[in-house]
Amino acid sequence: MRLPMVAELNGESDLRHRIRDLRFFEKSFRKNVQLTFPEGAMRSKTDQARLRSSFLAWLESFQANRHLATIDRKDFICFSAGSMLAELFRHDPLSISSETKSSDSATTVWPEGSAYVSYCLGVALTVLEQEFHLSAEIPEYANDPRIWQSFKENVQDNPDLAIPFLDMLLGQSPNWNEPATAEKRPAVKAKSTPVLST
Amino acid sequence: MPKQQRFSLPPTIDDLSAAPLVVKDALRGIRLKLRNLAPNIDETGLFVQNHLPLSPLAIATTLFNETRKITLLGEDIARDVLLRHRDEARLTAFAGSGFGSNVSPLPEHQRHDYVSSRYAALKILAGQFKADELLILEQPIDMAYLTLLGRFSDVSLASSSKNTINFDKIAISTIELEKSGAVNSPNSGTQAPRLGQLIFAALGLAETILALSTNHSVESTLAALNLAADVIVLRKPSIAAIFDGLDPEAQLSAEYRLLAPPLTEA
Repeated sequence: MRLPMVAELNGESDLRHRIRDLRFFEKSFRKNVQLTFPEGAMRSKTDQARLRSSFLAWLESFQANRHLATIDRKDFICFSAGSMLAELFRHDPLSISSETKSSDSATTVWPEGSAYVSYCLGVALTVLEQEFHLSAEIPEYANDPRIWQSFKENVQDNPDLAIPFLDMLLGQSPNWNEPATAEKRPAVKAKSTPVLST
Repeated sequence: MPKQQRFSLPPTIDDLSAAPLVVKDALRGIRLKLRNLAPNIDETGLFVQNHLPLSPLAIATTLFNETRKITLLGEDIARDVLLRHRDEARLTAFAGSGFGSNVSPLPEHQRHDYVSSRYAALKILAGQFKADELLILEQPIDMAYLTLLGRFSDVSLASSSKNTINFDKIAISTIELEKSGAVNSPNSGTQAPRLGQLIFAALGLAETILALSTNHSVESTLAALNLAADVIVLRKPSIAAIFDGLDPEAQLSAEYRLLAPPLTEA
């Protein structure tokens, strides 16, 4: 799958803070759409109110869970990117009309979904690189149209399933049962100090 | 039984200072009533050109139209003469005259800035909410200012640092202004949040955004008001819960803490 925004985002110093700025979020999201669908045959339209709603909902989730960053910072970055993806799916700000098929399987199966994933994946990869000098490789199955078809069906049923899906792409242990509950993530559970009974 | 006094007490300095605002608000009320009473006829004077005897209704209508023309003429003249008092020009004082930036106590001359800039901001926000005809009054804002000034003299509300933003004070000011009756929002029954609540929530959010920013130009203030109105519309359920909740001041403060930093221009 294509990640056209990574180079652009890498040019932003301190992306983990910049991404919490509504104006930057809007601008970079729109830029990602532009770069993902450069061909004239695909026309995209972004609903600003829906885009802002997804940002505000993500912000609430981020603030409610940010204390978990002290337990496992890397895992929290992946969870935050997954939450952003879930809110984008929930509010669905993008609509794309296409007349031709893209060479990219993800874009062919689900153009809007692939744009959301490429944006959030790009943000997560850039923050991980800036914070931990990690460069994660995207697994081969990310180019499998069957994976995208299955992902589409699942996320339409429950947008929060976007969180474990993104975890898989980032090589992080997913939590399929309670995806939106950050405390139940394998990495958090493994590092949390057990409460001693007296 | 003692005879009831017609005037209980002589006016205080505060009453005298507020007198022009009372007159202006009264005129605003009259103007709104005149606008709402406007009958659906053209203003070309067709009734007058008709030489048949005029009915009482036609006479009233003609008189009304003439009065309306005079009102419009007066408004045009006032706008020309008082150009510096246009809404946007008044906004220059908006960011610096609030209670959130810990300039305490506010100097007396800021009372005027506080009232006039908030009045201007409310008018702009009313437009954003497609409610241009909403009656907005200055005197209740002035009364709220005096109440807040007294309330914020309490040291427990002071912030630890002069440079930090006092979200609590902005939230308290917002709730006080909403209760003041400065915006006469129509009673829409059970619909929550009310239009007035949304407008004041946006006013407080814009004030918080500007308190966090170093750019206080008229353009930035307008941009902050615009963005705050957009975001508050998207947060309707939260705003309704805040105004109907047990501690609206604390809840609104938390809402501003959540929303304002991501909306502030870097």
